[in-house]
Amino acid sequence: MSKTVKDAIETIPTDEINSISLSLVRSEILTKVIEYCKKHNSAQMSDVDLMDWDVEFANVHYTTLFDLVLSANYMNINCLLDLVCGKIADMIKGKTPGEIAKLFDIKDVSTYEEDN
Amino acid sequence: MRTRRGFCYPQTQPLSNMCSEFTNTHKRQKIMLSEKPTGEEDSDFFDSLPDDLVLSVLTKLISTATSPSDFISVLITCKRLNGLSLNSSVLSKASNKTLSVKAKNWSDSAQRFLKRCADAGNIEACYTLGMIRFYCLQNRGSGASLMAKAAMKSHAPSLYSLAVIQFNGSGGTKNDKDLRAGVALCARAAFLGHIDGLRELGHCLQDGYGVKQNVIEGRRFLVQANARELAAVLSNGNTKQPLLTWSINPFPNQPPLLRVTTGSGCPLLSDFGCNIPVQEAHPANQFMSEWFSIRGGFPGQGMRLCSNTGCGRPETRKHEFRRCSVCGAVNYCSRACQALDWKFRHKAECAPVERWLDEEGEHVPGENDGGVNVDEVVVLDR
Repeated sequence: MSKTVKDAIETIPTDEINSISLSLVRSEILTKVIEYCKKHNSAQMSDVDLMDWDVEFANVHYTTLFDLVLSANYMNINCLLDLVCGKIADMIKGKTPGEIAKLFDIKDVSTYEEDN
Repeated sequence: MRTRRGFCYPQTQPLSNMCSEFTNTHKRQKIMLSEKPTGEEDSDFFDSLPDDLVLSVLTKLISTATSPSDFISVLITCKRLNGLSLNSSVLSKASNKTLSVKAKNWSDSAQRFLKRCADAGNIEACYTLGMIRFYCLQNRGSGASLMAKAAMKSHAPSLYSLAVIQFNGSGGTKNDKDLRAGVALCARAAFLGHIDGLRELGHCLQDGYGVKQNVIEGRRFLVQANARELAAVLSNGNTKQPLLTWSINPFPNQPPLLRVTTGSGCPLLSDFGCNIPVQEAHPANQFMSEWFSIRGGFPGQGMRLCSNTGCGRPETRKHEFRRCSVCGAVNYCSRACQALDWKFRHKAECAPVERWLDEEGEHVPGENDGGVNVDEVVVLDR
């Protein structure tokens, strides 16, 4: 599922592989990523159940979400990236600019009259 | 001035340290908003993401937003998000709902937003802005060229709208009508599966209007339009409770009837015993209906709107649209609108007053018209 890991395995000769370094990924985030990959690789659940599981999985604090986005990008896992980006988008939807700024701790706030 | 400890927020105190951070942020943002923004040493969560990831998030947002405000509020949150949101890769993915500006909220900035999306290559934005400019803002050239841009990318509603413009000679005189061009555009829309295009093409073939008459082919297209409409409703209805159920007919000799379970549907295919609701109109049509209803229901001196309320098209010159030949009280921009409105509404209220000729001297085709009972399987005598 992770293209980065796949490429690493393919490029390094197998007898030399002891470990693959994932320097940008913290251990607790890596745990979550592994959980995601395991769930999606096992063919046990139906599509609908898997979607429900995904919703539950993504229902975490936004700090974790941002870390997941970075990790999924680094490890090149497209479906996880889509899921987490979608979740962040859902968090932005329906909020006023002030609420968005507060939620994501955005300091550089200026008022814009241009685009309505 | 609020203190860092949040003394003026007594309710947050029991929640201890975590909350004081939020009140800090809140307090600092308040200061920020009232003064000029200064260089900020702390970074926010979005700063931790590189641009391309923020673009992914924004693309997801714009394609799943349910109204323009969902996306616009991001535009005015901060400079970085503003810059990234206006990236063409994000704007080109804007969904229909994101672009569905309400007519009462129309402004220059709304127009600029649509224009930006259109320039980014968003076909729906091209079509929507084209329709608004052509019909509401009366800017015929720009509107038509925007619609043409969308049509060249095989956007079925644009092709159909351009066909209607050709059939009616909208924006010009009655000599500007080009029936063959209209039929060609209609055919392209029909082959892309556009329901109104299929209906219009069916009628043109039946009447020999702009194309050689072929009643059987025309009938085929009309039936196909009905079938597609039914299929579309059924596939949309799957997400909620089923709209249609089979009910056991009290008369065992007759086939079971499809009925709507929720509320009243429109008798769109009542001849077949199906009751299905009308499909939701495109945001461009909804905009036009709202626009003209805000302005009193009439686009100009002596000019009327298409009586099919889901369409919303106005006349661009007097007597452009055709009237119902039975009662003469309603007008339609196209046969497709006429057939739809007949089933939906007009059939119940149409009463022969006098036989009218169209004001432009052409007889509105069809003996049993106004009500063109085209959805019946039996071929009418002509």
